[in-house]
Amino acid sequence: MLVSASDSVAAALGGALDGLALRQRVAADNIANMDTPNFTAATVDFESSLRAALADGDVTGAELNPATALSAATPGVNGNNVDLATETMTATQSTFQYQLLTRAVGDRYSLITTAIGHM
Amino acid sequence: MGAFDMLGIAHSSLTTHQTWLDTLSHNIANASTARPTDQAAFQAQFVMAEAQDAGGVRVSGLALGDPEGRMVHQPDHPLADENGYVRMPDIDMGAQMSQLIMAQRGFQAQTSVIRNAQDVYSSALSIGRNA
Repeated sequence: MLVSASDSVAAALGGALDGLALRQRVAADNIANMDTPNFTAATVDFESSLRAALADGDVTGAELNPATALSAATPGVNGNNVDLATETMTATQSTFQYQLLTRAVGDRYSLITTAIGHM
Repeated sequence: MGAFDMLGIAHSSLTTHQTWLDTLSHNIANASTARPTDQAAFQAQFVMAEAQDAGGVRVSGLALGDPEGRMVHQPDHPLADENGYVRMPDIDMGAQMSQLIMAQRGFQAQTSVIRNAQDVYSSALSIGRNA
């Protein structure tokens, strides 16, 4: 877990960062294999388990497992089903989401710094 | 999962696409390489790629084209046999050129992944910097 603070907001932020990092990695892998014959693209879903954990009120548990699934897109003639446009959009979108989250994490630390009175 | 996985994955694909580009250049450069008929023709090389379990891609081997080639009647060629034939490679220039474009575009796509990785990692490294 990225954020060591034990409250659920920090845990949710950390879980989302982990999920986005995995999604970025999987998108990079898909793009790396855009010309590999018989390669099947993968997708990542971390929102479902995160949403369920937030609904349960226990984000700190170990059930925050991002799920990786194989893409069901129709493969081309070489058996490869990577869609470069989709992967690029996924990568760009999760980059912005990641930057938003790191900003949120930084702001939480700013709150703590303010609370302890700028030592 | 490593700390900077995305860069390694993009690098593996850059290397693979570079090998593909090199191979295509080699084939195109030798498209007119004639051989005597008692020797094998120049064999075009084909890169075989496979996905790696740990992420990324690698060159799994090189396949070779047909050593038979094409028999071409060129009696004035210094390598021609007594019947006036030389052996030319059987290279499909259209296929080579279209693959050249695919390999080039594939290589370029990896650079966008690297830019993404730079944005994400520098963002992660800035956590707590202005707290």
